Amino acid sequence: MFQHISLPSTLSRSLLRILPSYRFLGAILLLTLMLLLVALTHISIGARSIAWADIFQAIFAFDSQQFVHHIVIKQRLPRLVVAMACGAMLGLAGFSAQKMFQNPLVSSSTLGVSSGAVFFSLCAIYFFNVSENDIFIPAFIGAAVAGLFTLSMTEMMNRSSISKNLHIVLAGSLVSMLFSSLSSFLMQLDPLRFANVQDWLLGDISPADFTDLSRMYPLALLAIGILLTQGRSLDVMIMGEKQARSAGVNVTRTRHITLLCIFLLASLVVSIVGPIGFIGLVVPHISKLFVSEVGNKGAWLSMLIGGLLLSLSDLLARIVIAPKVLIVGGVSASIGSIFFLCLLYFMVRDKRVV
Amino acid sequence: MKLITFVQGALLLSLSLQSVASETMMITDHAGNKVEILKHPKRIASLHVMSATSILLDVDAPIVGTSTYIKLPENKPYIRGGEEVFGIKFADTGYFNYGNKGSDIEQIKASKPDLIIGTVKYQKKIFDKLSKIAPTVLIQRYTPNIFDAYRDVATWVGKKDIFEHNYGLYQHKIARFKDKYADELLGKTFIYAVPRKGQAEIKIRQNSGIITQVLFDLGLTRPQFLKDTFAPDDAGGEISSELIESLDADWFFSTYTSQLGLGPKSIDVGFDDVAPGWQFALTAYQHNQFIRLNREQAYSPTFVSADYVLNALEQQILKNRK
Amino acid sequence: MNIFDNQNMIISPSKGISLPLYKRTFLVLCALVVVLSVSFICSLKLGSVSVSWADVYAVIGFDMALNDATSTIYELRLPRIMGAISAGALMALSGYLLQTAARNALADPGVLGLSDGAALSVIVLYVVSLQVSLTTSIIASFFGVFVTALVVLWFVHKNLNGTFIVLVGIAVGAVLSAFSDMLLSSVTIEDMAFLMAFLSGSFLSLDLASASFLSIWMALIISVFLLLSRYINPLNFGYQHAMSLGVDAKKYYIFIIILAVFAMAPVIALVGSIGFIGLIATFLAKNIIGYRGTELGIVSMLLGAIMTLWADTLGRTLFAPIMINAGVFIALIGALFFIIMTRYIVRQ
Repeated sequence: MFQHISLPSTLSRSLLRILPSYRFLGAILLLTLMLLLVALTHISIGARSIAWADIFQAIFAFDSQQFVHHIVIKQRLPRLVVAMACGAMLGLAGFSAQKMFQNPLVSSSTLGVSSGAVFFSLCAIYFFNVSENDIFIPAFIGAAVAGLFTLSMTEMMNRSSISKNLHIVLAGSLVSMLFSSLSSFLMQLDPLRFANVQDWLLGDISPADFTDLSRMYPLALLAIGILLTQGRSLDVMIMGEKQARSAGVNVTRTRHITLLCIFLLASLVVSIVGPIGFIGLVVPHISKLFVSEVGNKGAWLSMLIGGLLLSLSDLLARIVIAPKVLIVGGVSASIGSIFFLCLLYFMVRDKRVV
Repeated sequence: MKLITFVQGALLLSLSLQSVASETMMITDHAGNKVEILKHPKRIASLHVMSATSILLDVDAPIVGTSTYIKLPENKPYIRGGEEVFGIKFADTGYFNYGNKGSDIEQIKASKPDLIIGTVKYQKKIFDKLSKIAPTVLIQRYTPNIFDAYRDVATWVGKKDIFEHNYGLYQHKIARFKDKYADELLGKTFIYAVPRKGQAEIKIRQNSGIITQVLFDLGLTRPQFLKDTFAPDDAGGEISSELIESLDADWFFSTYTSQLGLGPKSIDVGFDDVAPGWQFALTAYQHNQFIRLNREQAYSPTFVSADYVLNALEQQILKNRK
Repeated sequence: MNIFDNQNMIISPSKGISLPLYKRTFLVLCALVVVLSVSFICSLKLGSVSVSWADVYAVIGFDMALNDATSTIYELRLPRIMGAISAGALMALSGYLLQTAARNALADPGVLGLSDGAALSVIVLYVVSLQVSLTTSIIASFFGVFVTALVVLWFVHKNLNGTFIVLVGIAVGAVLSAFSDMLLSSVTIEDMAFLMAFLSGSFLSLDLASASFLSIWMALIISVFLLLSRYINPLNFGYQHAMSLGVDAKKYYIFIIILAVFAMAPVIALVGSIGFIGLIATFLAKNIIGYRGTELGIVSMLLGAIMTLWADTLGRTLFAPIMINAGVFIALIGALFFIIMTRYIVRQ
């Protein structure tokens, strides 16, 4: 059947004993609660301590003369919204990628897609004097190029048919390294020009990103919608290509569309907040604890978990060494890469893939 | 044989006479190195545009080469600060181009300098390499009183008298300014801060170049928040933009960069980006005491920039008085 | 006295001692030595400032007339060139040794996360202490490489599948570089400017003393390698075969890894984290001489030295007066190479 690789199997087995429908509802409830908690904490954290009374007043009775209200509504709230939205996008992209490739190790960062988006954006800034706000199109092109590169490399490597699953991640890492070194090279040519983008390069959420989000959200909704519609076809494809074809699914078209949407979502996130990695990797695994990956429940859950996870990372980044602030991309990379390592270890130990 | 020894002897003698004639002096640079330098160097290599080259241009010192920035959109090397303040274009000068922050050591060597001026921050690791080429001195970019650094550089290039003359004029100007506008300046506070694009942070520049120096000399003081957060000699730092209300000094200064054709309004845009609603948080803005300066013109440690800052302040005061 | 047959060549310096060599290998070695020498001379000539061939000749001939041009070459270029050659050879050898131990053509200090580990320790050193001397940074680098190697080995000791080792290495490297990035962006360090350049591998601040140290170190490591090559060779055929040939494979695996660590650690401390040299050099070498013995190590060292030398020379010449770090160049070529060569992984 479908592979169910995840964290220690005892935990998932005990959760699986609960009836499916209750499980899903329970998960939604639990996660929404956690999301609310994280959201509230997120809004209350900041350099300036704001009393809860003020926060409530700001949300429900906004007074433009009071600067504190401006802080809550124009700075903290947008930040939260951006974190949740981008997290959701990354979560869904990761979920679809893992479902399509039937590989628990893929995500937009491990496929090298984000690095490609970054490099092409830098090229656009340097060679074509594109402003830092309009980098979506080069980011998308870069994401697509990098992704296709990874896939063709995997094709070449797969001819040996040994450890297929590891090959695609290896190819992704190489492509990622290639584009990172290209980016470093570009930045050395004119350090002054790139002085502003240093933080964006690491992946950073700031209130200003909200303006970008408010321009891009139609595109994001489109991509999300399309991905959800592909859910059915992807389910059938889990059984295998031949079976899917005989069941009437247009495998090539589904693949192309899903890939396109994954690239779209990844490049959207990169152009808004920068390359934040590993969220797409971790989210599907958590979602698989609650529901199977068949059907769209997993997709919705992934978006919820993604938003939760990114907001949580942002929260951590702000609290851990207060009053100094860490950058979200760094936090998610650190935690995510450790998670990736453990995943690799468990996978090979349980002899799932190699 | 005897002729050769005679010639050699004469050569040696003239060489030693020359070293006596071109006198040297022993000085200590800002990194603590004791260096023997010429009293009147004729070929000075400057490895930092904003801190060193501008001063050299201000005192009319003989520069042989300088580090440069790239000017957009032409992608040509240019002297940041030098071009805006003195109108000097790099291509017209015939100086050697040492690259960004003086990274091209071979060019430095090829220009045959007799004095190299670098910064502690960027040249500390290659100080020995540079010293082999020519006597090298390192300057600290942000000394608490920038005129101290200016005086040092002027002394090292043998132009101390020019500096003292100009400094005297400057102090005279300051005293007159203080008298004339005592109402607006006596006992007031100021702050110099810049929005940090892309982050929700504001960069406070507490001891930063000519701008803060002039304002301190005029008798303005730091607001309480800065006194609590930073030591008096600190260069400043970043604070979260949520705390913008605490930055509420009587006079608020900010700078915009003139590259890429941006104007004063880009400061407003920057603050909107970083701290929306800032207009309601700053009384300085509401009382028209928010001054926008052109970064490259205001920032260089020269008397020309000092005049620029004073003029900008004076204009705002006069406008408010009407 | 040389006896040639079809493929082999036996050098007998005296009765009773003979060194068999493939003819091809011998030719390749000669050719590479020539290329290295030519590159050396060209690198002396090339640079942001033009010097004449006469000056280059003067420096080589130790005819130190010490005019401007010769001292430019001697003081500014020679240390970089020596450093680049030594660093290239050491990293290439390290890569070769790791590939022998991992039985996988993709192993390399950069890929396995070892250089990231060393870089992180050096950064931590700079954050923690105010004055960082050469020896302390080298010690920190050793420490970093050792700990990373241990971590990677612990993860893979049960399963020595080649692809898996490489992936684990990449993952560990990702963790370490994430920590480095976070550290760098949140702490203000005094030598920040230097650190940023250092991290991408630069020969700029190398002085004659450090360069000489690296060269001597290189000679040392090479001698150790050659002396013990008899034991390293059988390991190329795998654990079982090596045991059947009477070699205590496990002991020598560990020894190989230790040698690899020793080879690369000072390089990272002095020059910064440059990876991929081992990868490219060994891959090219294998394709040229098609054989996996000790000669492969020597050939890849030569290739590594040539590559790094050109990376540094081009970096300081191509875009002058803008200096591009050698490490960036190499990472560029390395990643490209890595991608091209993956189609050959299966033939390993």
